[in-house]
Amino acid sequence: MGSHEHEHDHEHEHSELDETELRVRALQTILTEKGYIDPAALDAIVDTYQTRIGPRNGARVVAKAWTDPGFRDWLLRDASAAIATLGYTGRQGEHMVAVENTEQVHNMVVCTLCSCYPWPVLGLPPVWYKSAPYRSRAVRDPRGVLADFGIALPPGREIRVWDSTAEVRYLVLPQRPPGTDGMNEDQLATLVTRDSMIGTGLPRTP
Amino acid sequence: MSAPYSTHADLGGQLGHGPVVPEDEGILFHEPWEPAALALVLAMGATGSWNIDMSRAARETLPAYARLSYYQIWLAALEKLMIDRGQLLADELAGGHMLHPPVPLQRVLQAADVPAVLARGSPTWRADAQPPRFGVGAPGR
Repeated sequence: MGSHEHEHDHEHEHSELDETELRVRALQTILTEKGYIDPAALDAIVDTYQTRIGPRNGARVVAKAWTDPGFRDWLLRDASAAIATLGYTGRQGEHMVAVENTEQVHNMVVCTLCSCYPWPVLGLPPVWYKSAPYRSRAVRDPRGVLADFGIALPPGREIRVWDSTAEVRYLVLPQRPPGTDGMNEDQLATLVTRDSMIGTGLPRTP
Repeated sequence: MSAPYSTHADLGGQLGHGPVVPEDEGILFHEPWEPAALALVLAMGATGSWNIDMSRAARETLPAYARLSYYQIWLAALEKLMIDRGQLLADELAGGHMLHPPVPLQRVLQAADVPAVLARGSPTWRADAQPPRFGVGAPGR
């Protein structure tokens, strides 16, 4: 395969993406002209997910569960209600289930059919979560997927993979790392990675 | 007689898709038009014209599903949903401007309402009309 063909592939991909850019602009123009959308609402939506709704929300849920046993029990019993007290409610997270990692069990969350994800606590799903490799392999070879993330769990640990639905979304409650006894909630939240709340990562250690 | 429903999205367990490529938490978009694509789909989704199951069906039945990126799927499905409802016509998409009068919508999402609408979501619980005949774990007969 010569360099000419390589260039052609790049050009083809570029022109297809430019075509998509044009289609997006066309849609935005038409929908605004028709009065179907308020253009300022578009900015508000993007701003919401770029600045206000993201995995730092979930990190606060986890940090609270680590420091408050009552909240932790409530989270595991009725995640929707417990999370709602922190204000993280709504679209793509109306019905939540929290699943707890232990020495015996590691949890991983996937949506094999599309990209169902707990937006109010984790924000927009990462591109790998929405893509064929993860969606196909998480339910078949979770240890192989964890290896792609650089994670090797002890051989005896059970891995539970939860396939999300359009109605029910999952949040993994990772284990609190050792050496964190003196830390407050804010400090603990900084250890909670986005991937650890999906189950493809582990929290940071101090 | 309608055609059988065929989804391209049932990927669980399929082989041959290669490794998962991790990505930093801070990365949200990969193309300059993706934020607008997200916003258009969510804004039209808030008009009450369709529900999430209809939008998922529109996406997963796209013939080009396997080769489109995530937000390209969203866009193509949005066009399909709108064209099916006469909210958009093909000549308008081609020309980039409104050519036909708008169709009435149930509601239009205003900027001031965005936080409340996103925080409310679309819960799917339905109250039981009557007590269930079988409790969890009870034998059917």
